[in-house]
Amino acid sequence: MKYLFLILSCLLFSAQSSAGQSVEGIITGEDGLGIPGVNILIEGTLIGAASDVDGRYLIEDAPAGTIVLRFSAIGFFDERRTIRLEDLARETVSVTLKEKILLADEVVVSASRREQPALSVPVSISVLSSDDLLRRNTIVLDDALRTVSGVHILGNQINIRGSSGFAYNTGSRVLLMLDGMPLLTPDSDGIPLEALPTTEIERVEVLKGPGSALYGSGALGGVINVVTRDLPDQPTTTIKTFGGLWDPVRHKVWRDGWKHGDEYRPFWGVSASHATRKSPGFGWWTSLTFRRDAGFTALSGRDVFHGFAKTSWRPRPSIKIESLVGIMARQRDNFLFWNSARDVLNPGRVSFGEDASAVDQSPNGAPDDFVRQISFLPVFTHFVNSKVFYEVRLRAFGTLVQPIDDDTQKRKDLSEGTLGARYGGEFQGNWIPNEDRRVVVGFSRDAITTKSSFFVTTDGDALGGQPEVAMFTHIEEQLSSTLQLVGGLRYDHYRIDASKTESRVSPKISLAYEWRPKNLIRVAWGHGFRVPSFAERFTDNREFLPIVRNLELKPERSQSFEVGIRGVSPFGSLGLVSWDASAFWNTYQRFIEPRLVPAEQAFQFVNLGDATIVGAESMLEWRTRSGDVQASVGYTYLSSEEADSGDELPFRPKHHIVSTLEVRLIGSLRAGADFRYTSEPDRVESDFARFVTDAGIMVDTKVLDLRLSAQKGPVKLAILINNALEYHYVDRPALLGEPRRFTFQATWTR
Amino acid sequence: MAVLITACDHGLEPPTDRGAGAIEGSVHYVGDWPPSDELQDLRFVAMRFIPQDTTDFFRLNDMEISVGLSSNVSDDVFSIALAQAGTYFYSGIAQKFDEDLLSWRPIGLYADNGGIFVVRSGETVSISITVDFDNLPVFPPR
Repeated sequence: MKYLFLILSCLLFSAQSSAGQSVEGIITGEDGLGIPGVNILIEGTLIGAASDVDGRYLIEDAPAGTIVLRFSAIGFFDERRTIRLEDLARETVSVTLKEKILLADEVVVSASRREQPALSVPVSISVLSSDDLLRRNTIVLDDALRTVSGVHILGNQINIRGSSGFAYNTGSRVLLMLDGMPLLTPDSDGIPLEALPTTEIERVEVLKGPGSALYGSGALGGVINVVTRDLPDQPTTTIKTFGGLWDPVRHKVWRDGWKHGDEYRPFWGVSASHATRKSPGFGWWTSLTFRRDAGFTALSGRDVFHGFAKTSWRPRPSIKIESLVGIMARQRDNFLFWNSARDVLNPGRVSFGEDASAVDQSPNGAPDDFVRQISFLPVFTHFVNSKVFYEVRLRAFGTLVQPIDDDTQKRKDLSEGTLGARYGGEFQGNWIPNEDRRVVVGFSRDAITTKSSFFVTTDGDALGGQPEVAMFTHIEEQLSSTLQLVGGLRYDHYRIDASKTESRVSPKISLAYEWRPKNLIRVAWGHGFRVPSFAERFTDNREFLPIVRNLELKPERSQSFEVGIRGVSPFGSLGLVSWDASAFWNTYQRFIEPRLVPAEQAFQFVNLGDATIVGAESMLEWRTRSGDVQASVGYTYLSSEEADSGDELPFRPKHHIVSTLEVRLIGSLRAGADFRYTSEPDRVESDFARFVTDAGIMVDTKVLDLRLSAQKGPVKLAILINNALEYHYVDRPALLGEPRRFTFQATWTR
Repeated sequence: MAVLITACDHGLEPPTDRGAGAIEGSVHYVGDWPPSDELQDLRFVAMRFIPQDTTDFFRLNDMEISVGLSSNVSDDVFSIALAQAGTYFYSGIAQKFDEDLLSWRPIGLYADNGGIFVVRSGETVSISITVDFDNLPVFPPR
C-alpha cells in the first residue's frame, strides 16, 4: 500500500509540474475598455486562450520556463511579452493593444509562406478584407477583385499587371490558392472562382509579380490566396439572403432583338453558415449557398450550389489537424459570344458556308453544361519546439463537366464531357534559429488525370496525366534592424507523357529597407513559368472550330524586376494616409496563345515570341481616425511590346484606375462607392474576329457601383446598385459587360 | 469627377445598320469539269476584301456566300438575297476540292470593272462570271 501511495504521489507531483502553471490578465484598448476575442498564444506551442467580453483571459497548463506570449486580434497590432514562469506559478500579464486603422497593417501569408505584416513584405501585395467583401455583397470573387489596383478581369480571366490577356479560358497565368493550396481545375487550369466559400473568407491576398519561386507553375503573373476564417470562440450563425433585378439594356435595337429584352431579369440567393468550437481543441464551421440567376442575355442563366466545411482539431498542444471540404454543382447556359454588335443579347453562330436549308441554324455560341466539383484539403501541423515546426498538406480536386442537349435539356453521356482529378501533397518545414533568420524548405508532388472527348493525348487516348514534383526553399535574413534580405529557389519537374519531361528552376531575391518607421523601400527580382494546361496541349476537335493539338508546346517563362516604396504617414487631425508606388519590368518568353495556323488548316495553341510589359502602379489610401471616412485610389500604367513585330500585346489596356469611398452617414448608416476605369486596349487579337461578327469592338470601361447599408442588432440591410450610371462596355471579345443591376441584401448574424 | 465623366458617356452603342441589298448573277462553264471527288462543294463567294491566303476563308464576317451550285453543267445562276451593303473587291465561283475545311480555291472571278462592284441598301446588283477549267485564276491574287 505504501508503495502505491508513493507512486500516486509521484504521478500527482509530475502532473502538477506540467499543469500547475497559469497566466492570466486583462487586455484593454487605448480607451481603457476591455477587448473581447483577443487571441493569446504561447509561441512555439498551440496553448492559448481568448479574452472574454471584459477582456479577461486565463491560460492554464502553461509550460514552466521562459515563454513568449503573443496577443493578436483583428483590427489591432500584435503585442508580445516574454515572461519567466516558475513551477506552479500563476502570473498576471495585462496588455494594452493599439488599434490598426489602415489596411496596410493587415497580416498576410502569401509573400513568404508565413504570417507577417503586409507593410513589411518586400513585394507588391494588396489585401481585401472580409469587410470589403461583405460591403460589396460579393457572390463570386471576381466582383471584389475588380476593385484591386493592378487587377483587370477579362471575362473570368484574371490579369495582374497585364500578365494574362485573354486566353479563351484554357489556362491561367495567375495562381488561385485556397488557404495556401493551389486550386486549379484538372483540365483547363482555369480559375474556378465560383467554387469558393465567399461567406467564410477572412481575407484575399493578391501577390503581384511572379510567384513561381514559392508556388510553381501557374504563378507566372501573380498569386491570389483566399484565406478562410479561423474558428470563433463563440458559436456564430449567419444567414444571408439577397435578391435583385438586372436592368434592361439602354438601346432599343438591342432590346428588340430578344423577346425578354424589355424585362427586368431576376436573380436571388441564400447562404447559411455556422461556426462553433465544441471544446478548446475542436471546432468547425460549415456554409451552404444557393443562387439562381436568370441572366441579362438570352441563354445565360445559371443555378449554383456550393457547400464547405472546415474542421480544426488539436489532439495535443503541439499538434493541429485542419481540413477543408468543398462541393459545387452548377448548371448554366454558357453564353460565349454575341450575334453582332447590333444584337448583343443573343448568342451568335459560327458557320462555314453550309447550306442554310440543310443545317440547324440555331446559335452555337452558347453551349450549356452541368459541372460538379469536389475538393478536399487536410493540413497537419506539428510544433516540434519553439524554433521548428512543420506542415503536411494534402489536396484532392475532382471535376465533372457534362454538356447539356439544347433540345431535350438533358445531360449528355459522360463520354461527351470531361472528367478530371488533381491530387497530391506537400511538406513544408520551418526553422527559426533566431529572431533575425527564418528558413523554409519543402517538397510537393501532384498528379493530374483528365479524360475528355476533346483531348487526344500522345498515345491517342482520351485519358492523360501530367504528374509533377517540386522542391523549394526560402530564407529570410534580417541584416540589420532596418534591412531585410529574402531569397528563394524552387525546382519543378513535370512529366508530359511517357517519354517527355520538363524541368524548371525559379529563383527570386528581394531587399527591403525601412528608411523610417512604417516606410519601406523594396527591390525584387524573380523568375516565373507556366507549364501548358491539358486543354492547350491536347485539345483536338473539329466539331465546333477546327483545333489541333500541339505536342511541341513549351512552357512559358518570365523574368520580373520591381522597385517600390510603401509607407504610412499621419495626415494631421484628418487621420492617416498610406501609399504604395512601384515600377516594374517583366519579360516573357514563349507566350501560349491560340492562332490560326495555315499549315495545319486549323487553330492551334502555339508559343509566340518574346514580349515585354513595363509599367508603374500607385495606390493612395486615407482613413480618418474615427473610421467614419475611408477613401482610396489606385492607378496602373502598362506598356507592352511583342519583340518580333513591335506591336502591343493584345488585350492589355494602358490605363487602369480603381477608387473607393466609404462614409458613415449617421449611426450605423453607411454609404459607399467604387469606380473603375480601364482604357480600351490598343490591340485586339484578330483571329477570333474573323468569324464572330464585331468581335474586334472594344471600348473604355467606366463603371460606378453604389451601396447603402445599415445595421440594427444582429440584422444588417444593404442596397446595392452596380453599374449605377448604366454604362455599356465589353467584358471580353463579343460579350457585353454586366448592365446595371439592383440588389437588396439582408444578413442576420447571431 | 469620375461620376461626371461616366454620366456623359454611355459606352458601347449599336453600330449603324449598314443595310442590305441583293446580288444575283449567272455563270458560264468552259472546259472539262474536274473529277467528282474533287467537287466537294461549289459556291458563289463575294468578299469585301482581297484575300491573301486560304486562312482568309475564315473571315466570314467580311464575305457573302450563296447556297451550293450545280456541277457538270454549262450554265447556272446564283443569288444572295441579303448581302451587306458595301464594296466587294474579290468575287467569283469557289470550289471545295477536299474534305478539309480550308480546301477551297477560286475557279472563276468576276472581272468587269476590275472585279469590283458596290451593293447599295435595297438594290440588286447583277453580275456574270465565266469559269474556264483550262485557265484557272491564280491564288492568292497578285
